[in-house]
Amino acid sequence: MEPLALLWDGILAATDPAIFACTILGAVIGLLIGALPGLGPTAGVAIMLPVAAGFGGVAAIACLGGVYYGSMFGGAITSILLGIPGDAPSVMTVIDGYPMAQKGEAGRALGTSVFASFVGGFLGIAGLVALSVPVSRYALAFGPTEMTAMMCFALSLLSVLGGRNAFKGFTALALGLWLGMVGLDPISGLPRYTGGSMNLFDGLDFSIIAVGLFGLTAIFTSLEVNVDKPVAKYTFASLLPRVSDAVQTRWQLLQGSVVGFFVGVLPGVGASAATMISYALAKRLSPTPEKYGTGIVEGVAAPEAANNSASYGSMIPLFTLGIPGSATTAVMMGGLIMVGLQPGPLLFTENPEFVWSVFGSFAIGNLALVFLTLLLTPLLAAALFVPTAYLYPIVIAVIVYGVFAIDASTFNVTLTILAGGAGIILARLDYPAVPLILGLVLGPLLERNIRRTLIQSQGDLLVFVERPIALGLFIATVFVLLIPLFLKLTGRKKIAADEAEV
Amino acid sequence: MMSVQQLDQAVAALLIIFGLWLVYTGMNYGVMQGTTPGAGLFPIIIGSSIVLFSAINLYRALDGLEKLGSGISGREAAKAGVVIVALLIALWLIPYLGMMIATMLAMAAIGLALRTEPGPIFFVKLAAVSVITPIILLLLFQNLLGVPTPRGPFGF
Repeated sequence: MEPLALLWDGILAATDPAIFACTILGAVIGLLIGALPGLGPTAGVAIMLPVAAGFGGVAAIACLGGVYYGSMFGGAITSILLGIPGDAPSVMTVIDGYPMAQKGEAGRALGTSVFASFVGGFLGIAGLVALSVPVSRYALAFGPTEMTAMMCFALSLLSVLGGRNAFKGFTALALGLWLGMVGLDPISGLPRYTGGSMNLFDGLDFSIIAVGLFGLTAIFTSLEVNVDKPVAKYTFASLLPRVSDAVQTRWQLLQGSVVGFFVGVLPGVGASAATMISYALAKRLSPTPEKYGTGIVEGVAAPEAANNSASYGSMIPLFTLGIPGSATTAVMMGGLIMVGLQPGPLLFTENPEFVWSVFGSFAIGNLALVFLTLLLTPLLAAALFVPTAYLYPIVIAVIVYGVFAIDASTFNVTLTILAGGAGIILARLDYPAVPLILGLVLGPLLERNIRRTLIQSQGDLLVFVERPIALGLFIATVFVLLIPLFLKLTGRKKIAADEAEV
Repeated sequence: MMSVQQLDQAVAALLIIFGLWLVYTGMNYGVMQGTTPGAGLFPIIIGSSIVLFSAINLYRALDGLEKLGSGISGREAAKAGVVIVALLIALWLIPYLGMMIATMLAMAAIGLALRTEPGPIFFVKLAAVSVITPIILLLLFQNLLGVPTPRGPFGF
C-alpha cells in the first residue's frame, strides 16, 4: 500500500498551480504533436525540452511527460478522421478507426480511442507505481560491474531491434559512444576530440544533439507533408465514450494495456511494436477475427490502450535504473539532467518527493487528457490543415530560441542545426538515430563504469563475469546479439520498433 | 549526381577511415598505464567497432544486399538544405541584427522555401507569422524566463 499512499501525496503535490499548468501545457502540445502527421512523441519532447527545462524541477518533467503521453492520445485523431497515422504508435488505429469513420462512426471511434487511451494510461501508471519501488530497491545493490552489464544489454537490444539493419544499428551506437567521449576525459582530465574548442571541453550537451536529431530531423523529413484529404464528419455528442462500447471492449482494453506495458518496459521495442502485438493478439483471440479491419471498436481499443500503457512502461528503466529504453525516454532523461537530477535508483531515496510528484502529474495529465481530447478535437482537426509553410517556421523558431536559452550560446544552436542535417543523412541511409543518441547518453557512464571496474580489479577482465547478475546480463546480451542470425535462419522479420516513433 | 546506393557506399568507406583514425588517436591518448586503463582504451574499442561494422556495411552496400527504399526524397532533402542554409545565415546575422530580426528573416525564408499556396495572400500570412512569432518568443524567453537574447541596432 506504500506506493499508493506515495502516489496520492504526489497527486496532491502535482495540483500545485505551476505544476498543473505545465502538465496541461505539455498535454495540449502533445495532443497537437501527436495529431500532426510527421511529428511523433520523440520530436515533440525534443522540441519542448529546452523550453520545459526553463520551468525547472517537477514542472519541467511534468510538461515533458505531458507531451509524451498527450501525443499518444493525439495520434488517434488523425488516424481516425483522415486515415493517416498522426504518429507511428497510432498506425494500427487506422486499420479499424478509419473504416469506422467511413461508415459514419467517426465520433464513436474517437470516443473509444479516448477511453482506451485513458484505461491504458491508468493501468500503465498503476504498473509504473507498483514496479518502480521494488526495481529501484533491487538496483541499489548494483555496482559498476552490474551497471556496465545492464547498459551493454540495453544498448545491444536497442541496436538490434532499433532499425532494419542491425549492423547499421551498431555503427550508429558506436558513433554515439564516440560523441559521448568528446570533452575532457573524466578520469585523466585529457581533452579528447575537442579540436581545441573551449566550447567542447565540457562535452557535447546531449539535449542539444537530441533536439537536432529528433526535433529538426522530424521536421526536415516531413517538409512536404500537407493534408489535402477531407476530414470525416462527426458531432460533439458522438465523441462521448459509450458504456456499451466500454463493456464490449473490456478484454481488448485489459489485454492491450498489459501487453503494452510489458513491451514498453523492454529497451528498444517501444509503443509502436506494442500496438502491433496487441492488435495481432486481440485478433487472434477473437471469436470473429474476420471482422478486424472492417471497422470495429475492438480494433481501436486494443492498440490505443497499448500505446498509452507502453509510454508509462518505458519510463521504468529510466527512473529506476537511469537507463532510457527508447528515444523519447532518452530525451526525457536529458530533461532530468537539465533540472539537476541524475535518474536511477538513488532518485527514489534522495528525491522521493520529486519522483512521486512527477508520477502524480502523470495521473492528473492522463485524466485531464480525456476532457482535453474531447474538447480540442475540432480544433486539432482544423490545425491539421495549416500548411507546413506557416507551421514549421514557428516550430523551428521555438527550437532556435529554446536551444539558445540552454547556455545563451549560438554555438549550441549551430550544433543543433548540424545534428538535424546529419539526421537527414542517417534517415536517408537507414542508420537508426535511437542507438546513436542512447550511445551519447550512456557512453560516458559506460566508459566510467568499465574503467572504474578495471581499476578496482587491477586490469583483470574476468571481474566482469565473476558476479552472478553481471554474468546473467552478459549472457542475455550474447543472446540478443544472436537475434539477427536467428531471424535470418528462420526467415522471420522483426516488428518495426521505436525508431519509427520519432 | 550521386545515387543513394553510392552515398551509402561512400559513407561506409568514410566511416572505416574515421574508425581507423579513432584507433590511431586512442593509441596516442594511452591505452593502459600499468593496470589502469587510459583515456585511449575506449576510443580504440569504439574505433575498432566502427571499422568492423562499416566494413560489413560496405560489403553489403557493394553486394546490393542493402535495400534503401525508405527515407526522404531528393526533393525533400533539397528543401531541408535550403532550411539549414537559411538558419545558418540567420545565426551569422544575429550579432549584427539581434536575435529577433534574424529569426524573422529566417522564418520568412523557410516559409518561402516550403510554399505550396499560390496567390499574394500567402505573403501576408507568412509576414504576419514571421513578425508575430519572434516577438512572442522574445517576450517569453527574455522577459518571462530571463534569457539574455542578443540585441541588434534597434535595441531588441
